[in-house]
Amino acid sequence: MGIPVPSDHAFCIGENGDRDDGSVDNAIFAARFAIGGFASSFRHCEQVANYVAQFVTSNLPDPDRLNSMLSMGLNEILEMAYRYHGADGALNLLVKQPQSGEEGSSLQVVVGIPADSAALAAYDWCREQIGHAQAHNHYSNLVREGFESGPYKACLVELALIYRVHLAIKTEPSRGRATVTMVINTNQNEQ
Amino acid sequence: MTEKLPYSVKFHPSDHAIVFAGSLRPSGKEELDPIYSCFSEALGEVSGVLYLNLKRLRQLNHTGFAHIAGLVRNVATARSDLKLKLIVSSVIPWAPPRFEHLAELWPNVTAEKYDRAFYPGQRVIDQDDFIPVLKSQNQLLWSHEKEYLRIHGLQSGMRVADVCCGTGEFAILLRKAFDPESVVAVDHSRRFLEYATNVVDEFQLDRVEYRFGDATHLLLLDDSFDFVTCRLSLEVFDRPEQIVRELFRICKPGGRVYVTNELMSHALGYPHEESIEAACHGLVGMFQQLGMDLDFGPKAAVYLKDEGLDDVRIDVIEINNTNSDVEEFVQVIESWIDVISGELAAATNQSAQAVEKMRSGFEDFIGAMRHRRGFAGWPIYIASGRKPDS
Ligand SMILES: C[S@@+](CC[C@H](N)C(=O)[O-])C[C@H]1O[C@@H](n2cnc3c(N)ncnc32)[C@H](O)[C@@H]1O
Repeated sequence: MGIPVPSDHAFCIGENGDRDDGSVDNAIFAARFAIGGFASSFRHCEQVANYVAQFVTSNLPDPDRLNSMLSMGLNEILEMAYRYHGADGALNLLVKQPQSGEEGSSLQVVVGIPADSAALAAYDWCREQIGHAQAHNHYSNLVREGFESGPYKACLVELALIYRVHLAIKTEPSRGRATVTMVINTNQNEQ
Repeated sequence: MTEKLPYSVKFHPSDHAIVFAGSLRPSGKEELDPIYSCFSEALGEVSGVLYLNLKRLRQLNHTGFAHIAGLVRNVATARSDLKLKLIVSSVIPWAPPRFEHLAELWPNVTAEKYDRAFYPGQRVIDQDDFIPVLKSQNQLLWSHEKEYLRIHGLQSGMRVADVCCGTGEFAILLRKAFDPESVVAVDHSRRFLEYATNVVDEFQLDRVEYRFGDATHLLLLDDSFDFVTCRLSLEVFDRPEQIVRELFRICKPGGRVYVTNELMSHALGYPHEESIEAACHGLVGMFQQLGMDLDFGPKAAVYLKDEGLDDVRIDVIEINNTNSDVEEFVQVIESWIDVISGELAAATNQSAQAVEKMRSGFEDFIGAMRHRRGFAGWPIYIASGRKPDS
């Protein structure tokens, strides 16, 4: 399904209109999927998430904890992409380990998704929910109501608000693309 | 043909528990029928409390969570007579935040990290005070154990797992002496692992890896190690069979599981044999109050056999002041004295008198070690068994 891309690309993976911003410096894993193929089976989300998590974490400290977190987080992003995407184009996936800075070391996952107007609206909704001043209360209300007002798409909201992962969502209507970036702290003592 | 579900869910009426396991990542409600049936079966039967045991659920997607949250909400609101307890494992990093948040929303729902209070003596052992105990014991035991490891089948080039590795000395010594392919050492004390990792980094040792994990639900693969060790640890658990099951599971067919445990009430010394005997029995009693069995040593063989291991062999390391370094032996007992009079006395509500008596008994033990004509002995039982070829 995936086409590995040489890591010396000056720009993130993808061609022409499917290119997503970001450098491939410190990349550990990159793949590109035709969205039609990817979205042809719901099981692809889990298969890709488990594979990538296993591949990326096997040489990092505390690999079981990171594997579990990365698989969980990436799976949610991929399930969102499975449900909300445009008809054509590529899904780009990049996992990097930025140089460790003051905040310790981390893993960064960037998923670029082709998005039609309904999909763009769903990603915008997530971004607004996450950035809202009352975000936690809103999320708690969604849980209390049994997620009736935000089925499925609340997955990204949950990811950002409940776990210690940093999530950034960007939509570009002119290019018909959405990008979800997730940063997971790899410090061992975090839980 | 129906596809086998990647998760399981079962209601256990005797425990008032719905037990989940595996990976629950459904695309929609249609994959969740077994969960809905379990809830309705459970609600028809239980009163007082219902446990949702989620500790072996390795993955859960948002859709699965939303449905469980919906079921929890229905129970919490419709059955205010019922307490709902969500039991999660802190080894699965995403589980506590998710379910603790859920528990905040309804007064009759609580979430518990089970491995925080997993074995009754945990609050005593998982302490900085215990680091000198583990370090000095390992140092004393190694010169003997090295030989027994060989006898029980450890060879160079093997993949080894050390479960309940504590402060990690054993993994390091083993790595140096046996040149294994790799050693994966697991414990669920963050402070012990931090200590262990620092040592390995400082010594620049490769092929030794420490992992945070729960010995009763290891994240290691089936049939993946040639030699699986678990030392001085079955004795601190109230349900050792849960760990033996996992040791068996991760061992390769043809590989061996190796465990050690004390027989503390048979430690002895003279002069002052009575005072020493009283101290050793006192220690067994103190640990018993915390659900631990410091006399587990010879019983291990039965657990190995019950789990299906064959060729079970027993040996006894008889540490004494003539076959071991006396000052190393003294250090072990001194570290016990520190623990007895500190955390352990507090946890078991000992009177000052009882603590003093035990302390002086162990001082006599040290005296016996150093005495020109004295004797002091401490027996450690080794049991190992072979996993049959499948
Ligand atoms: C008495 S110590 C023995 C340590 C080590 N094997 C040694 O000989 O030095 C018992 C160890 O079991 C660990 N332990 C307790 N519960 C555990 C669990 N559920 N999973 C993994 N390790 C656990 C404790 O943190 C402690 O390090």
